[in-house]
Amino acid sequence: MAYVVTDNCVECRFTQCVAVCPVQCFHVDETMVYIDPHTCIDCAGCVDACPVGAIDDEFNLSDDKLHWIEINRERAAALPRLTGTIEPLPGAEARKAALGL
Amino acid sequence: MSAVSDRDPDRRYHVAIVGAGPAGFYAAEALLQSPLGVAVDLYDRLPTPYGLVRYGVAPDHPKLKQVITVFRGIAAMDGFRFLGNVTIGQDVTVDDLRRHYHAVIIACGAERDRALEIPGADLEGVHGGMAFVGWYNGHPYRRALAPDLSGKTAVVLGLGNVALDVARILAKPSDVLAQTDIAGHALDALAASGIQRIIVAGRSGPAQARCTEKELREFGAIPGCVTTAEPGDFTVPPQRGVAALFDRFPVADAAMGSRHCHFAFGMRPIAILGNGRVSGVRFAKSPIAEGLRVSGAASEVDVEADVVISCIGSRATLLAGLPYLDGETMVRNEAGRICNRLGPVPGLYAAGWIKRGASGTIGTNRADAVETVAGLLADLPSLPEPASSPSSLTGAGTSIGRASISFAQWENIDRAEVRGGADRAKPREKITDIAAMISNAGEQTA
Repeated sequence: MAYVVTDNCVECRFTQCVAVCPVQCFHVDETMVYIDPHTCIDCAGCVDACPVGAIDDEFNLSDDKLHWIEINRERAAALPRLTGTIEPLPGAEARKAALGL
Repeated sequence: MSAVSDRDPDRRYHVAIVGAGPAGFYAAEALLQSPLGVAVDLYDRLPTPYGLVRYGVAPDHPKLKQVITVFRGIAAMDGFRFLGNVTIGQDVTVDDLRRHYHAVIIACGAERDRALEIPGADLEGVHGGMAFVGWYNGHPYRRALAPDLSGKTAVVLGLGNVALDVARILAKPSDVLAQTDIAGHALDALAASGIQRIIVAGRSGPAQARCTEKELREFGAIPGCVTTAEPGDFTVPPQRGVAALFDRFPVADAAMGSRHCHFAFGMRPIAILGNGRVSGVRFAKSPIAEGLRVSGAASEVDVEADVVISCIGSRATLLAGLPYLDGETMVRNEAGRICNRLGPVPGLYAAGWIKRGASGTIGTNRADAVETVAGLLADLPSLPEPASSPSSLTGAGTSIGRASISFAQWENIDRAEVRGGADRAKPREKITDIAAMISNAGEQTA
């Protein structure tokens, strides 16, 4: 079991999660971040750090979000590791507002 | 142990960190990555590193302890030294450190249980949560706690993750705990435990509990233990969060297990009852509505208890000369710069629980330490040169040089523990006595 980054991260990519990850298990592409389930130690620290509620325990995912488990696993394996926070994507604040957050 | 004087000459700054827990390790990492060139001496009063990852994280949570892999990577970075078995405030003072290093980071946590401050709190059989956790995790200073678990009922005060850890360890069958790195003395005591009822009593309502979902969910799957919870009085059953998990526990114990754990809400302890030894807890019990505590309508309730573990928070570790805030939850600081009444004390910093209070997850300390180190590195070029070099404090001819335990020596202790565990099919058998740790550490190498 691990934690999973889901659709709310797309086009936001705030990366506060990366700052509090004790094991640097986040990987990044041009749209969002992903958690490497083999490195994640289930500390849950990133869940509260995310300003758009994008991260959740696998256990809590609704059926329409279960596919994110596999996306995180595959993308994390293929992408570079992110070791520190980076600038959010240009539309991040607007997207956050659109999410009602 | 090598003297500091022959260390990497490219590292012209020397920083001492007090406390080798997560905050200390993450501070070390951030310093060692700096292009300014910083060498780090990470001190701990114990011969063992990792702080609460070793002595706080529950033995049945091995995945969390995998963070140790990260700490080992930090320990392997150029410019890093571990000096275990050195007690700051006893073997050396904070001021001694400040005379030998450009800067000092205090990262020794919040080890003291917050006092109950109600009548009877000092009765025999009343323990603090930090002390109890340290006991089952084999902390050398907590071995002597030896709680009497021969009674039938344990009352755990609080609804945070420490309370849940304590309750779960009391509830789990000892043959399950026997497969963890739980301290041998604790395993023996828990195998002989007479505890059948565990009452976890918090002041708040279920929707206000501070524990995490992940910790709470485990109570649904403890072999031989039935978990129940007081109703939250919800009009609409909650769908998410800890409130939803509490709401799904049965209200009463229908199928009796060999053990029974019960969550009770709105329970403010007002006295520990007993004559010499605890026999119960008197609570002011508030009603619960929509998952929240209703204030102002409390009634007195007495709950029988043979042992009480109070998990109501902790206070900063005390070091002479540091400025503490009221209540001693943390040292006075601004973004990690320790401040006295006149402002920041040059070259003195804090990170981790002693900086922000006891809160957050392991990784919270990474962001916290990075913040402190950012301030330190900004200050560093303008800080005065220390009066003496670190080697005059820690070199081969000094008392610290002779007594301190290096990281390589810790790795010898580590291997001895893993070997000791293999005989019992445990991941490790912790050595819980400092003299025995040192005798397994081997010789210092130059």
